[in-house]
Amino acid sequence: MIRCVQTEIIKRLFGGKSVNRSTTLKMLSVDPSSSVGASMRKEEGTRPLVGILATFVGSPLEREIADAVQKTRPDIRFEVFVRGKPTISEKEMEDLKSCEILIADPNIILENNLVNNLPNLKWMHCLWAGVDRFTRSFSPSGPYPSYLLTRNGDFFCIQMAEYVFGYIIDKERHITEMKKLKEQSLWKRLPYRTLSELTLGIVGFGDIGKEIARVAKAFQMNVWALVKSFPKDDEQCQHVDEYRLSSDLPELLAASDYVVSILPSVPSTDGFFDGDMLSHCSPKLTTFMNIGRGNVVKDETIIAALDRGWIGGAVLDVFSVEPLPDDSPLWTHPKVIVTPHIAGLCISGSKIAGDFVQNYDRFVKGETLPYTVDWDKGY
Amino acid sequence: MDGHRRLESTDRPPAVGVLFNYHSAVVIANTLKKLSPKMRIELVSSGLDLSENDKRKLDSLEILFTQPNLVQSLKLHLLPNLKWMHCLIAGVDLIVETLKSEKSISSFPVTRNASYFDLQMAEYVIGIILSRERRIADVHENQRNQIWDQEVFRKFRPLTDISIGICGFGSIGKEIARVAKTFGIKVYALVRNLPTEAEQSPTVDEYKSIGELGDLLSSSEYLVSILPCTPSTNGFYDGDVLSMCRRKKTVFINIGRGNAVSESTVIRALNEGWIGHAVLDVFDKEPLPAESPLWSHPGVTITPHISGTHMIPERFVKVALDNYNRFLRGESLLNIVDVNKGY
Repeated sequence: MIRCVQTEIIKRLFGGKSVNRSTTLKMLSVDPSSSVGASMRKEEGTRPLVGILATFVGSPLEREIADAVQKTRPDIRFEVFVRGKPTISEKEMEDLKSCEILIADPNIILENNLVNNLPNLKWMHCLWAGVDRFTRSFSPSGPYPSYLLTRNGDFFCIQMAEYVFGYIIDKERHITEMKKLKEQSLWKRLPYRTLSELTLGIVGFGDIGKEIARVAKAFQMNVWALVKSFPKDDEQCQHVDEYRLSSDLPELLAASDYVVSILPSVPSTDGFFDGDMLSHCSPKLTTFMNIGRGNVVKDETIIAALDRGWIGGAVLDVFSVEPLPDDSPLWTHPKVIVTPHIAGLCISGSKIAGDFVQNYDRFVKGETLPYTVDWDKGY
Repeated sequence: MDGHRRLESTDRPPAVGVLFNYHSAVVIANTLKKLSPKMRIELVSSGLDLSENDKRKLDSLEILFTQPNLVQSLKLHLLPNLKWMHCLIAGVDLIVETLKSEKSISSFPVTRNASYFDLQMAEYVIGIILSRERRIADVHENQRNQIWDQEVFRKFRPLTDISIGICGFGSIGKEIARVAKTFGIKVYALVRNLPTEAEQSPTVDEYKSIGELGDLLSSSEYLVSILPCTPSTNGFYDGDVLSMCRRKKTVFINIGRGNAVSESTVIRALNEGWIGHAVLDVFDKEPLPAESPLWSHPGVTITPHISGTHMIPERFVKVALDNYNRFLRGESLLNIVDVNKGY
């Protein structure tokens, strides 16, 4: 059962007036790895060694996180700081292996063959929302790492909504075209539609999907959501007008002026929109947006769907191969917008530090951590 | 007194004249007929030149649905029987002067189509903000050059980190505040009279009175002006007012009326580094003349008065219909224009 998590963002959304933070934790499922983790956690009073493995060369982010944690919680043994690129030295490897808690980009762990080489690790926290490369590197039935993996599930939600509506409104209100008209000193009114006349189909209805639905409703859009199973009455999202199951994808596509895929990359979503699926978009010449993962649709599928008049446009932030190869036809197709995986990118070091510290306290008490990855599900 | 008469039971409902831009006038008339089959509608010519036939129609009309620019130069003696005029758009500045100057004749109430335009104007404002904050133009530029560069977009500001100052806090301003709050933007509202705590909107973080305009300007990454065109708003931002935007290099967005700020003020404010950019949807003269320096200034975005011009017929006539029913029942009308205030 999924319960909603109240976050700092909600507090900010209601005009700064204080709202009690709910302490309800998100529970994705009974998580075997969490019980393993719980049994391996130290008792309250001991202090696990914490490290951070920095992702981006030259980025100050991880330094900001480390500094913020060290400053606000000097009791936390935040002692290891390693740059993951270009290479990790022998000494740094030893330091990483001594960590019991590690903040890291799991892809760097993968790249350095550290997945099963962190003997002291009890909990890895990923700064990003998607961990699919990591989870898909294991064979479907395991074995899985003995440590917990958590991901940053809710930080990015509002940013993803900003991205989605930024591109929708830019398209509907011709903001980019009006810049071009100005360059020609042309006063020309282009007819437009309002979002309140349009239907948004959300495919992949986790926290990001729910946030997008919330914002869509603020614009009075009609909202459809594709889900794995119908939510019970008391779990239904107030911002959704119509729920549909995966088998009803064609109906959702036909009803939607915009479709946003936020599907994670797992075997069951591979090629989700490939083949003839996008032909169902032709009644409304749907604009297809992908901010989930690139495994759900091939480049060629998009091109074909555009050229056949199935979809009216594509806004793509994720691709099968990233960076998008130079020879991909997506770069130059007039109806495709290519964005370099930037929908949810801004990260605030101090906010991450704050979230990490909350989770740290839960961890040492043996409590369940939000957004613990379920190895079987892959997210 | 509302200035209109109660309908006598023996009377036929009064005919409603529709005087509006041609294509829209037909759509409006058809929509009214569909939603209110018993309504009698007289389609008056939509041209600026009235034929004798048009004048005859106007002569007998008690109700007129119209737009200010078409009646602004109309001699009100052509409407001797008028009991109620409804403007199908939000901005009534063009007719206010006529009403004031022909005070002896214009004893009828004038109402306007407020609320209809609110959401689409809020959409425009948020669209402009998102387009800038997420650097959509740069993304397109990179795509044209087939450059994949994440780093350059890494440091965007989430909207939760910015503030918007809304000048002119009527129904449009309130809707902008609501939508801004949806994204977690901090909202300042400029008002003539500070509301009591009970009257305060949960979507406004801080109300500022006119005397505190400087505070608002120096605190806002974005300034949205929806001030109506009245004598008191002429040149509202002229002089050195915009120098108070210097701290945050506020982006100035004008979707109210062009009288609030002169072209030379905008250009000066940009060149002096007071404001970071100007997004202008309204101007003193529209269409903006080709020789205006605003066209070529890189710090200016020009949109051709389109923040609120889309008609969704059934919603567009809603206030008119509500008021029509109120009029027939002798009830007070919605969105009455205060001729002295000018809106």
